[in-house]
Amino acid sequence: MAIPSSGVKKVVLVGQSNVGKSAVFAQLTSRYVTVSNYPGTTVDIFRGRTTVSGQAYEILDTPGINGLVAHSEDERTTLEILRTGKPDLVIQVADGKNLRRTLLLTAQLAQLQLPLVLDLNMRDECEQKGIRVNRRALSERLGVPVVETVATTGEGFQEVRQHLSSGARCCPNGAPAVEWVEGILREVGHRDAAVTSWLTLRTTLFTTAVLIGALLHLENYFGAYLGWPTLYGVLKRLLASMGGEAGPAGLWAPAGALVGAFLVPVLLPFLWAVRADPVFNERFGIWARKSLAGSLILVVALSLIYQLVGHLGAQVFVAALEETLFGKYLIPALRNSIPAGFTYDLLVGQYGLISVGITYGIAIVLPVVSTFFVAFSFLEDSGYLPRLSILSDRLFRAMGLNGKALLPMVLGLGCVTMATMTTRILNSRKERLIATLLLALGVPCSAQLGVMMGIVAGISPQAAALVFGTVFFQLILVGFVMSRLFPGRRSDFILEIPPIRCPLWSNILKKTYCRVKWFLKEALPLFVLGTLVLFALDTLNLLDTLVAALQPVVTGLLELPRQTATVFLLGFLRRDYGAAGLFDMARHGALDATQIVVSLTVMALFVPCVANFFVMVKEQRLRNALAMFGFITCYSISVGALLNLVLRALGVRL
Amino acid sequence: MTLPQWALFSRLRERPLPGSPLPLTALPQGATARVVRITGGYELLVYGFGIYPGVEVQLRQKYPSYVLKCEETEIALEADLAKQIWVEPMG
Ligand SMILES: Nc1nc2c(ncn2[C@@H]2O[C@H](COP(=O)(O)OP(=O)(O)OP(=O)(O)O)[C@@H](O)[C@H]2O)c(=O)[nH]1
Ligand SMILES: [Mg+2]
Repeated sequence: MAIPSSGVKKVVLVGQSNVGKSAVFAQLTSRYVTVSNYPGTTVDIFRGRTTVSGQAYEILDTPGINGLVAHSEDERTTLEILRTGKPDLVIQVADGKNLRRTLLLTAQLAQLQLPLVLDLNMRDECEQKGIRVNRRALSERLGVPVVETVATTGEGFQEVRQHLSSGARCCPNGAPAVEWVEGILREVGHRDAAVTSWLTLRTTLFTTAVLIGALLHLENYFGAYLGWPTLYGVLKRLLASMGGEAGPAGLWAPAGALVGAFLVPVLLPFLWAVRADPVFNERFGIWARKSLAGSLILVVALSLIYQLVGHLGAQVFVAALEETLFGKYLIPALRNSIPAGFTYDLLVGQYGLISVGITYGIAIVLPVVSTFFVAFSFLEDSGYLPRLSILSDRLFRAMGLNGKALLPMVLGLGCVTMATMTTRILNSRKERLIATLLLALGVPCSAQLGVMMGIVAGISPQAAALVFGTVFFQLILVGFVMSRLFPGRRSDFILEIPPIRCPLWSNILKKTYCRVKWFLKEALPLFVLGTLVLFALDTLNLLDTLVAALQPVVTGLLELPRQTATVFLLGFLRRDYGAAGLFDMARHGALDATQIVVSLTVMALFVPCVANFFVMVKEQRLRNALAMFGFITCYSISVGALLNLVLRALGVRL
Repeated sequence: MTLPQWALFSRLRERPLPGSPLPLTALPQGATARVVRITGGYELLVYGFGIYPGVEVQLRQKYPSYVLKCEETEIALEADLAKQIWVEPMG
């Protein structure tokens, strides 16, 4: 973006992680930035503009800092801006609930001698907890304006705007930071008696409802094995008998049963409890970080996502779009109206831009990505992810990382490219290297994950377990080996755990919308480009040569049908494109169960996409990125070959 | 139907005597303590999270990671780090 001219004033938002800087940024400017409930959402500088009474301001959103000493790459970026960016005003955004921590940072910011405004955010939560701060006294003591805001609703921003031009220099009167802070706290900090957090009757009722929902949910798996009538099965039959099969491709019965069996009994009580009962919220936050209760919650959460994305998104929605809309109406109509010849082949032929590129992008990947992003944004905003960091810390330590690495890993399920940038929150170079490699190797991104879920959901739970289990095991294995090969040591695990918050639908929808839009902008052109390349190769009769060259690997080593080679070629461009190709083949019965499992595993282990490769180069330099690329390609094929060998030798039926 | 908070957090285990510094790892779950000193070169790291001598913390969980409550923040840390934080148990 342009360097601010002298007329534009530069305002930098700084503060600890997860205090709401990005939410404040969104209130002040009209630019979209990601707001999520975990520390480390923002890892780079974002700039936006606003005008107050004729004066233009450039607002900068920054990664969170804990002090003026950087422990990781993202903190360094913020400190760089503070030290060399010459801001006209610094707004310290803070969590009003943690006045001591806030002032500790204020004391350090004061050393920089920059005009400062202190924004005590999360005022709603302070009120709920009975925490009150004497704002006037604090402002007098600090010598800078102090405002209170609720960044999620916009409360208090009138005042923030007024103060954009009135920040004052803050002086910590020469005393050491700690004494200064304690002194101020004695004067202005005031806290009412803590709100009781006893397990009340209401919370008990909510808890029971959620527990019953979770049990019902698990019953769907175990019941199916034991031959019991599962809720899902009963609902589906009921809906079908009510004429549900008459809907387009018989979709409404399974869709309705999914909603009835999973969303209504599990999600609704949970959402209601989280929304209506702060005590339940707190309780849930505690359970989610305990070993046993936390593991159970994880199982239910994973299976809910699997149901939502694998069944609702990848089967119901895809069937509606791909089979019905594209397969029955759009493509046949186009085929009928375009005369045979070059245009026909280019648009709707075997490697047609519309019949392959657009179909894969819009009819297969888009519905999957959209449902996945809804579930994923929900996870992000709930504050659940940092609790998973606690549960998985020991596992990550075996891989030379620590629990904090869970954040980039899980974000990788959204988009590996973005997540590779989030590795900046890790404290050591070694950790960043390992995390980058593991992300590229074995973390499937949303589009691919959803398509994979859709394929295996069509076979059996064992197949699902086998594919995801193999990929997961590879991650651990490679991480374990790498952590011993690479020099350096891992850093110590310390992470703040945000409270469980009820996600705002508006934020989830906004995030999903932005991500889907970004997917369309990013991926669709590549899908079309990839198809174009295939088409050109096919027209020039080079495709057969290429496929023949790949033959030993594809049909020999992996025992897959010949045409899988073209799918793998697509997979090099974007893994999810390749996965969509496999999905297409699987639906048309071109692959048996073992072949599906093998090809999916190989595809899952490939390098995600061209964009990811460029980010790897940017974050880890070309040499490392190339080495990783080579390693991953060979490794994924070897694993696939081995898996195929084992499955065939043991005669495993899936 | 209502249970007090301490009944959920700790099972009335013996609490150490007030007055003697202990590593955080020696504290029973649910106990409140005042930080006395920080060793092992971690001063700056935990200082950023608002933990320094004189601050009151509550140990909320010991496994799979240690979880401290300091003001209204919960902070998760691993045992290697927790044992470098020396505290004085409070009443
Ligand atoms: N209740 C409440 N929640 C808030 C408020 N401000 C922000 N949040 C929530 O706090 C979480 C963190 O907000 P962000 O804006 O992403 O925080 P950040 O400071 O940019 O975080 P990093 O980029 O990770 O440093 C989100 O879930 C917000 O919805 C507020 O005033 N009240
Ligand atoms: Mg942010």
